[in-house]
Amino acid sequence: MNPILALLNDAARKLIDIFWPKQAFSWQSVFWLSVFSWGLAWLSWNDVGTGLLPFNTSSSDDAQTASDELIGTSRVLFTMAWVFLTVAIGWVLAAQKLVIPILGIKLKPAIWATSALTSGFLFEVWEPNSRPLVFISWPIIFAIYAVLPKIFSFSSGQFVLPSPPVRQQLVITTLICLVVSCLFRSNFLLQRWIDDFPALQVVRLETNGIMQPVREPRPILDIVDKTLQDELGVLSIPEVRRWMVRNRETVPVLNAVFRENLNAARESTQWELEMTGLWVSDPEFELYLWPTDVDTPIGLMRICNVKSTNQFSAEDLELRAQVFDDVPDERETQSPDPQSVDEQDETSEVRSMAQQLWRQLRNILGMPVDSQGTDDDNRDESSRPGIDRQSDRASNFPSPSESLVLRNNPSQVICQPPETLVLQDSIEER
Amino acid sequence: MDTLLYVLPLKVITTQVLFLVLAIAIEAFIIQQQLQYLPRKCIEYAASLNLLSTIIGWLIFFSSPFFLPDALKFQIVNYIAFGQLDAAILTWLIPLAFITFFGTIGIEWLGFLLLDHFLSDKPFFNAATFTGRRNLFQAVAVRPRQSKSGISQPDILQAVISGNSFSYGVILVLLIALQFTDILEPALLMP
Repeated sequence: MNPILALLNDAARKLIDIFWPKQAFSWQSVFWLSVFSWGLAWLSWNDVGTGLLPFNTSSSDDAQTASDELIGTSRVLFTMAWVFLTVAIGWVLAAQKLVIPILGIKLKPAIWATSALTSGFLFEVWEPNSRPLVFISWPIIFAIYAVLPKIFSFSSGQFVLPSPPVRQQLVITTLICLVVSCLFRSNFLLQRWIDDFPALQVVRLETNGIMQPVREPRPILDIVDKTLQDELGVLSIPEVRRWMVRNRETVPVLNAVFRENLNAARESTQWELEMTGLWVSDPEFELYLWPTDVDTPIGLMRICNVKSTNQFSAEDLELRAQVFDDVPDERETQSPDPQSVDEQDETSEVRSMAQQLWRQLRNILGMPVDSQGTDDDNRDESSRPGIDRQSDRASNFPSPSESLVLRNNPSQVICQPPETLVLQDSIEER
Repeated sequence: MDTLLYVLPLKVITTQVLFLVLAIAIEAFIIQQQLQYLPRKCIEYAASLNLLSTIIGWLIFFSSPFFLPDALKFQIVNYIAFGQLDAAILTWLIPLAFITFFGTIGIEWLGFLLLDHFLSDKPFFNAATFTGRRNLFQAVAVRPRQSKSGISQPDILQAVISGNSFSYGVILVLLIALQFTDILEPALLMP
């Protein structure tokens, strides 16, 4: 005979040997009873094609329809199958004992297995959405299974009082089971908090926290960075200033772009950006950003440092020329984008402030101080530093810092690096 | 939802086991010193009492989201996520520590009396125990005064108080030490 066939034959013979009942009253007969009633349940169950377990479907809607279909007889049969399976497994393992070598603790796998099957049947099979309950109830059911045989005599059908040492052992077993149940529950509670506060899914959890993340955080903050870079990084610094002054109009526009980017990345569009400028200096500026999920009280605070890739716009050059010519009033009327009166006022305000600053500077340092201004005219496009930086946009965000904030109460900021605190103080002084 | 972030609170479990073992060892020693029980009985008593107070503490923690103010919940979430305590939480922490300490002593004292009763020759659910007494608490509270070993209630209370003081002191020192070193860091699990 073919050796592989012989091997298979041998294995099959052994399997049959294991599962063939030697007596009528044995675990094998219970096991076959379970298989039999499960087969009957499967036959009587309407929607045979979906799988082996009637409730084991992916989405809750499917599970609902499946449980609606599984009515009457097949439900009873399925329950019987599960009960018989539990009894069979308990019977197989009943004689076995696991002894932990050093501590000398004896474990009975039968009780663990049967209690797991029971809680799994009670909560997972009937209610597919209550998986936490399976784990939480497992140790409790274990405690019941462990204690019941000691205090209830099945032969006489009466409660008996075990001896004091056994009683003490039962107390400790029950309490340990309850502690394990509490630990399971704490796990699920923390998980629920993570789900309730989406801000926690975004930040990189610190390693000294209680929770260790198993997956990467959601890329909301990267999308914030990208949005900000695309919208603001291409503006010149005076344009950024103007953008910030008109933040009531510009932030909703930024939000719209942000939502588009979120949608493109298949993220929830529940997020909303709020923004405050922190400081603006010539090549770069820093911003406070509050991306918050609309529904939850806890949001994020992030400080972004953006380098403008477009340092000298036409308006900028114009402004410079204006300042150095020191003739403000003539140019005032030729505002580059005369769209609205407010905007013109704001631009003129910014300009007059800039001019005052330049005058003060020149008074302090003497006239030919500004090398940037003087050789401004003979600079060509290619030598601008901003053009070079456009190639590596990722490096435009030197170490942005993030932290959690209570929504509507940004003063309550936790988890900040120290330099952020300093910056926050300075903004409060202003 | 695909983008769910799963977390493992392994640190909760390791810290829990460490503190339980420490507290059980210390309290068993104190009970043995003060009440002259057998060592095995002391360990069993200390284990039962500490497990009981741990369970009740967890139950209170699980019910806390229903009555905590938003700001405090935020502090807890922040501590859990980042392991950082804000100065604002210290105003809550000190009364909380007091309540925890005295609550633990009360629970362990009651638990000691109950356990003593439960392990005696006539435990309280025996019908004979209730004759002449109005309720369970009376049955529990009166009985140790009549115990054969001659241990009275104040002795038990004293043993529980000193045992808890020592174990809480050691745990506090350990917590402070853990703030500076990160012994319980499961570095292997970091992605």
